[in-house]
Amino acid sequence: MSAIPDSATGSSSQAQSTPLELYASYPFATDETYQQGLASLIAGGALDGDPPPDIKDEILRRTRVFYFNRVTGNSILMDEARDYELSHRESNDTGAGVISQPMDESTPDETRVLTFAELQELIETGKVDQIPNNKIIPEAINDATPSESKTPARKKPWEVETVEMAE
Amino acid sequence: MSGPRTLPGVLQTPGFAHYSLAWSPFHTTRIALASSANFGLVGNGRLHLVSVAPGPGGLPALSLDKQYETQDGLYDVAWSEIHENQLVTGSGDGSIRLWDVMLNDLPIRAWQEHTREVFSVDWSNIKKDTFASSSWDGMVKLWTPEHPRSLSTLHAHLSCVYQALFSPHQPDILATCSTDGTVKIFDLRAPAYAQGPGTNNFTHPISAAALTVPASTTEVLTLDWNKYRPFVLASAGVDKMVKVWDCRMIKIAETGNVGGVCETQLLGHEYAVRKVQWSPHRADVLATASYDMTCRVWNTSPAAGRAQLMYIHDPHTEFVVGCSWSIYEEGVLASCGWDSKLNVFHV
Repeated sequence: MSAIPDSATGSSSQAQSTPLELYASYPFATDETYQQGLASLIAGGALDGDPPPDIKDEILRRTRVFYFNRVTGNSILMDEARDYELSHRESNDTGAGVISQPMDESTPDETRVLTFAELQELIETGKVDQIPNNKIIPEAINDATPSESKTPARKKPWEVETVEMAE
Repeated sequence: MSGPRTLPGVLQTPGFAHYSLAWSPFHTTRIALASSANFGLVGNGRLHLVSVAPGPGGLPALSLDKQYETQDGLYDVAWSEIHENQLVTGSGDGSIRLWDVMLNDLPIRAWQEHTREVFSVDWSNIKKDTFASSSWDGMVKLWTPEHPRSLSTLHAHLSCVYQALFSPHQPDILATCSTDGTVKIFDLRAPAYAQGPGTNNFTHPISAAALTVPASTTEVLTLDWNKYRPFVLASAGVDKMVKVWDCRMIKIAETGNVGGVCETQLLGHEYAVRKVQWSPHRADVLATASYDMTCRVWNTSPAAGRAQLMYIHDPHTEFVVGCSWSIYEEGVLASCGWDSKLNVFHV
């Protein structure tokens, strides 16, 4: 499971941030665990029927607030989050609040699936640093002691049948 | 087309296309999922561990328990048959890794012997300390978790070996399928080399099969042993057809024989078939997954007047590459594909 980013736990530079400010700056767009949870909710039909934008915003906000409270231990309320996002949307003109905060250009969006053509272009132009999910993974072997097996093997259904037939 | 439709439980893994899935032989509701970023062309792999629980309205609810990252894409996964927490993966860089699900991040063993993509891994259900790998380098290798090198190597084909599976009934019997259009059955106790056209023991050594089945004029991507009828197999591949082979004429003591009687052909998939798997509960039920974005269930010997096709699962929006029956819950099937979705449903 991914570690909690610094911005969520309140590193020293953000020690004075209020929970709502932390919420507003939380990197939902790049948090893989959040994105996975969101994707499975959507796959499960959370946004079926193409709800109007305000309803959709509200559903997405609820997922953010729930997730934010869970990983940071805060307990901000839906109403607070809504008020904060709406007031900031007007004041700083970023358009859509936290859901589409600008991405760092140099970091590929790990959750977006490139089309085959996009991928081909990145490979051919040598921009492999922009290919998502293409990072160096340590080759090391786990030096922790492997777990001990405690569960006896179970018979497969066809092995059970064979025994019954033999009797 | 026929059979009741039920909504699947779904788990999505954004950015990672699935290549294979396997149900734990110890824990009824645990699934392992092998996946690759960027269509498996470039980038990392990821092994996902998933739990299935009864959800609202009887719908299976899937949850992601844990994941492991790998340098290269993962093409197959097999659970250990002797250790409930361990499983093995095969990777695009030719490596094989053993994982302990009680530990995080890193594997507990790694082997690098294959020179090309490892496309299948299979754990023996009879010799429970042994597993096999098959690779695009034409080789099949046998391993145990404790041994730092492979136990033996079979020069199974001169081209890609897409799958190698142990017989569920006899130790030391293993079947393979390949780009070369054949299904082969090997007796692992008789590691002789074949003689004949296209082979020589210096530049192109090839292990002698007990039986070679000329299964297709094009690539055979997948096979499976029937669990209730020894030496009956299903195969499928690029020719879109699924075929059931009666190989009971095999003479284990001999090598070099060509045979196999095609009992049944199952027609209907519109593109290549990537996976076949027989039901663990019924001798005549087979699941198939295809690039045509469907997973299908067939009755291979229907009563007179009944159709072979029992069920079509079509919610996937990309290639379906894996399908597997729950081992202990009859009629529960899982499918996975390049849409990064794992679906679990009742047939």
